[in-house]
Amino acid sequence: MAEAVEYYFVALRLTHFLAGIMWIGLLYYFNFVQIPSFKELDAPVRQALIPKLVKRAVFWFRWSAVVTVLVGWLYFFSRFALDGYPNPAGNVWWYYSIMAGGLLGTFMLINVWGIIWRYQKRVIAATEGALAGKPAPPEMALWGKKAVTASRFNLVMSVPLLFFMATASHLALF
Amino acid sequence: MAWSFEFRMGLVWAVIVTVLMVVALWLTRVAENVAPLLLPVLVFFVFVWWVDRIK
Repeated sequence: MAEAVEYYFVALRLTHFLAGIMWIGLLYYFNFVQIPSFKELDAPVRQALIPKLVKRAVFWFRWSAVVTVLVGWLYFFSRFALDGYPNPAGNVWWYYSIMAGGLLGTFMLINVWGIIWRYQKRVIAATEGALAGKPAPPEMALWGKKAVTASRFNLVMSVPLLFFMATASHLALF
Repeated sequence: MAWSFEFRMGLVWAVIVTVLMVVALWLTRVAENVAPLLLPVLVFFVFVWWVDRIK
């Protein structure tokens, strides 16, 4: 029985790590590679890349965010239910640190779906429309501005998020 | 990235929310009550509201 529980936790952690690497990796790709590169590209090249490259990258980005956060909370509450509070090792800080990191990650997930994807899908649809001969809507630049602001927020927020996750088992702050 | 509007605003809001999270965490630990965590949650939703209103 104990072994089965450990396999369950390992499966959750592994899924959380893999999805998290994909999510934050794509976040860094957008912020450090794609956004600055797109500023240097000509409009026709950008138009060609948005429906192919950006659409695909944003798909993996938003769904890996969902998996990371949901599996992370499932792991947290499973630990809480099985180990009790404080856990047998008396490690109270672990709960606080993971809870703080989890909340910051949840904020980032809300940004991904509530701001970034909400505006990014309009940009993608408008670009596809432009390729089909429709005029680009004047709000397009504003949509990009909102999505990028939320993306920059997530970029900065990833540092304290990973700090809380990394220090949960190693450094009790309070 | 430079000091664009998007980067400056993203940085400022993320730092505010992080600082509030640390304060709330300390208060939670001291008071053994999770209510202070509502503080960064509320401020984060102000950020979401604000981003939506960027002109």
